[in-house]
Amino acid sequence: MSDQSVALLESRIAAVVHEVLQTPTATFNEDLLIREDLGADSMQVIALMIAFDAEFDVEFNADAIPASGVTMGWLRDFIATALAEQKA
Amino acid sequence: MGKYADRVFVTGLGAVSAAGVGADVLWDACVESRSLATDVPSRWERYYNSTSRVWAPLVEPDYRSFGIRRSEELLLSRPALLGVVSTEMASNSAGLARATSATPGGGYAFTDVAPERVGVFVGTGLGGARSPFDNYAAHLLAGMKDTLKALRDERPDDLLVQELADALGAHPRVNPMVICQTMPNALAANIALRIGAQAVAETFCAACASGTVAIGKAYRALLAGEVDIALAGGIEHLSDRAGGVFMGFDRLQTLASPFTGVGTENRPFDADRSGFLFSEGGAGMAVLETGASVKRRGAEKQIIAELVGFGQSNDAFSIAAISPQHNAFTQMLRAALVDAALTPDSIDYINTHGTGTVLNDATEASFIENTFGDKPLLNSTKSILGHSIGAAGALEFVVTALSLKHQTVHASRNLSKPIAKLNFALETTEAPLRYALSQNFGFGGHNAALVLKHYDGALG
Repeated sequence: MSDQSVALLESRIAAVVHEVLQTPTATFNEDLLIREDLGADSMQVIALMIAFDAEFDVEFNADAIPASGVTMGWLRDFIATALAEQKA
Repeated sequence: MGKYADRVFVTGLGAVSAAGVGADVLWDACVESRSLATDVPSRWERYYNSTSRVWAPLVEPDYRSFGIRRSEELLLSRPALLGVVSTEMASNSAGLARATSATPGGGYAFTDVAPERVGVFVGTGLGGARSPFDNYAAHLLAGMKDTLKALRDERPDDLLVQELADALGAHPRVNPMVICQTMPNALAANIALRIGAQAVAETFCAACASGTVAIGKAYRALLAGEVDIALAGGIEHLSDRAGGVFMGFDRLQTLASPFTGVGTENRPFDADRSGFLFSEGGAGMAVLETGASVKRRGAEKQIIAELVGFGQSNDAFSIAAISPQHNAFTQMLRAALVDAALTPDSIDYINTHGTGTVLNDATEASFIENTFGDKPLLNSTKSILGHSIGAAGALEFVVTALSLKHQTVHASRNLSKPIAKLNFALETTEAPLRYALSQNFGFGGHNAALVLKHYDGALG
């Protein structure tokens, strides 16, 4: 994935997070944790999952979720991998 | 419980119907007696040869324009979304100001009334019953998803491929919100979340009388002092892309069959009637409030009509057929008129249930003839909108309230050979209207009626 594609993917992820969690700005920060830093509760996590599914056509398997928590950077890498598999 | 109230007013209306989005849009369609019937999709005929060939589909509202975010659109069922949209319209038209900061549930509460004094009362026939079918489609089609997506582009004229691809829908995988979308109480609960209503959020299932029952229950709660403001109405979104509900009604021989062309099949109270026009659904919501609440927030100018009576009964006769006896109707009407301290000769206008089915119309017409004679003006809003099941009573309540406000009764469409010598509105008619009755009867034997009064400017 080119740098330009990664930047576009990050901005789309930030837009979804901003829309669902109503964060003040649509900013991508790869270290931010969805629950701990952005304050998403369990229902908002489900809302995010559905929104990412609609935006990128990707499914989040519970087994894939890291025990250390989901960061925006992890989301980018997971979605980029799924998109690459779709193209393959 | 608070102080008992003595009067209940309608101060706001919202509607989504086959006519479009807005109570004014609905009213205009009625006054113009516009047909909303259109041919059923041709693909339905591939696997079912229906008697009826027309329906009144819904056009989805622009949810964004009502402040509904894309993620919310994915989380809520279609009927829940219609309810929220209709609630937004009703509360805006009532002039109810909203808080600028969100409640813990993400809603925006009214500022003119305490949240614990606001209730939600919603009627629905089927609620979110369609939602599990998306998961079923996901289950059936998961392995074929990529193939179907490719075929959809390759074979645009293949109806089966297109329909299967459509069935993948917005949730091509198992939707985790399916329970919260399916449960009928979600319709009231989602409105309560939206407006931060904490007094009560109830859902009533009484088939085609659901909306009427919900509004009546809200009226009772207002009179009992349980709430100061109620959002009340009926919601249905059958999302009948594949015609499954349509075909069920068709097989029951309840739908309008061909007459002389699209727009003429649906003929309530006409000698040539053959059934009802199937509507995909709709939502009618009203803001009801006590006189004290209207005074407190200075909203007298918002008053559209006064609600003065509610009655209900059950036929205990058949799960689907209407009882040819009138005793249950009489019991319903007596209760509504006792509330209003009226006799039948006070009623100037009846917005009938008027489905257009042979037995329903005959029974309703004979009940009206025996009870009211030929004085009240009569019409059937279903002659225009079709039958929107759980939303029907609420949409007809909206039309009845606006009829009193505008002192106008819309024409009963396609009524050229009336089955009884009654005062049917054959054309849209201006008339002095003081009291009006809106009545509905549903599968299961549910009967319900509301009595409304023209607001004469005396709040007291």
